[in-house]
Amino acid sequence: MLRAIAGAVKPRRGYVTLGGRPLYDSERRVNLPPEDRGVGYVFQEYALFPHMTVRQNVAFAGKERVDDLLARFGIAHLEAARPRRLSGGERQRVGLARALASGPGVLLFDEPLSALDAHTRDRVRSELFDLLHELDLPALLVTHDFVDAAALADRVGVISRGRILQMGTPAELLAEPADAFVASFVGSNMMTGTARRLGAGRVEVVLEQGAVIHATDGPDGPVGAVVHPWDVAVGGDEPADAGLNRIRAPIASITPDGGRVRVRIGPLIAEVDAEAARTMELAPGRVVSATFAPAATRLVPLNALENGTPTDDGGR
Amino acid sequence: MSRVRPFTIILVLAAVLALAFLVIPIVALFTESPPGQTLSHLDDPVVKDALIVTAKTNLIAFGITLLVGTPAAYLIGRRRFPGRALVITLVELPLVLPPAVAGIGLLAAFGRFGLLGEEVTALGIDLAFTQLAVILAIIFVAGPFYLRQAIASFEALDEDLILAARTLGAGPGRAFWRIALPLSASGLSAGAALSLARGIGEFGATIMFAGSLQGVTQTVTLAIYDALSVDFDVALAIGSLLVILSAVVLLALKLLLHWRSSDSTSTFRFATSSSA
Repeated sequence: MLRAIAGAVKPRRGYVTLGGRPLYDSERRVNLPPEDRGVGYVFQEYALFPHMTVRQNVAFAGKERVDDLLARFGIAHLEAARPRRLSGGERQRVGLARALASGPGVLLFDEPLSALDAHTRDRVRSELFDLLHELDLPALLVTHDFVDAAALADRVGVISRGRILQMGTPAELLAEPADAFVASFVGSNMMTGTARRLGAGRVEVVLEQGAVIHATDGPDGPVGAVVHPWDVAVGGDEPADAGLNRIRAPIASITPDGGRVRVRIGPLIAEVDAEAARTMELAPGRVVSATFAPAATRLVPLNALENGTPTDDGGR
Repeated sequence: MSRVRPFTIILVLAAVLALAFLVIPIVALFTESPPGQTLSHLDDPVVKDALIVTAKTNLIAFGITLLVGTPAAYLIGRRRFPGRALVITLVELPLVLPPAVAGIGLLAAFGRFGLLGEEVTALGIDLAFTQLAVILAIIFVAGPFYLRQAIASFEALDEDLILAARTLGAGPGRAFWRIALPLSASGLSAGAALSLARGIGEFGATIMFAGSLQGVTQTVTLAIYDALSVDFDVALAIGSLLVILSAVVLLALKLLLHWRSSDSTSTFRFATSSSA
């Protein structure tokens, strides 16, 4: 998709406009070459010119802004170096500076954080956030990681198999995923089952693996029951609160994640505080109860087998 | 003292045999002709004429190969088009063709009674037994060495680099000149050196298509052949000269590649055939 916007590939049909200016339009037969489109492209592997110095790279589009950009990105001390000597984070800054040097109307980022190691990733993510807000440029990021998208973007679009499934703010996607694919993509639990409305504010769902849970609202028929991991509480054998949904199963795995712990219980993943997990002596194999409120259970209609590679793009 | 395995002995024997067979003829060139005489033989007008013809024709052929071959290779190397595999095979065909067959082919194409004979004569050119014929023969036989390597080098280019250049405002020409060409330089140089060496050594196609006229079409290799029956010592002398020339070319190539690879991060494939 990014390549189509940049002009490297020609879509069969459709249009691409930037600030009202058509870059590509199949109806009106417009197809501007990349050099006339005014897009700044930051590649996943940065695509820095290996036979040129940092300075020459940044100056490729034009010499006027080079010094400013080198200073702004803190790479002035690297100006005589060749790209192969730079770290991942440094290369990205050079790539950014180079793209901005051409004075583009939009910035395109191809997986901006995936080529970085975990530690650098966090730092670059926040630097990128600051930068995007500083510049007054629209930016389009393509990423496979919802966390990155949520951190950086104003609006996020989830694409599967070439179709946009949902477009909204990260919070909207989390709170109200449009379908099963989006739900699993944003990291929520998704259990399949069949729903039946029982009356006002009560829907019964028979899950695929047998358990019966309830939700407060939702469609009839095949559904995905979406519950956020942090809405799932983990308990032992104490009697269940009648109003809560409950699934008993052995703990399949426990994965630490920062100060929290992700506990896989049957079809669900619960997110609990690391301390609490220790206190409860959670261990794989132990049978526990995963409880969650019907109000926290959202039902989405199940589309017929959506299993394309998840891509999501966040843009301002 | 460690045991020497029979397998190792066989390997060493094979290596010594191969090396000896390759080295002995070259050594013999220098031992069989006394050095003093070699240099005086090089004063012979036959030799001098041969050197001039070789130099002139090869330089021109080399220039045309680079000038026409480079853009052609860029197109073939980077664009997907129907029949691309066939085109690449056709380009590689002269490489496996026996030079004599190449000569006959050239005659059939450009000779007076050949395929394009009428057009050629109409242009007022009589090709047979002219220097132009030598040039054509060299291009036909040696050109593909460069073309094949150039195609492989351009094909190996990271297309993201070209796209990056384009998004930064460079047109296709500027992207070629400032990005594609410099990054492919080591591969192109390797192909060029190979092509030049092959051109200098060309014999079969030249003698069939251009004949062996001293001062006109008689290249150094043709001169050796002629001298064989006349004066063996002269033939030896020219041979020694060519060995030294070839060694210089090879050394220069190796140095160039070594210097280049430490300078840039470009990758290149040495004389591999292009993928379809």
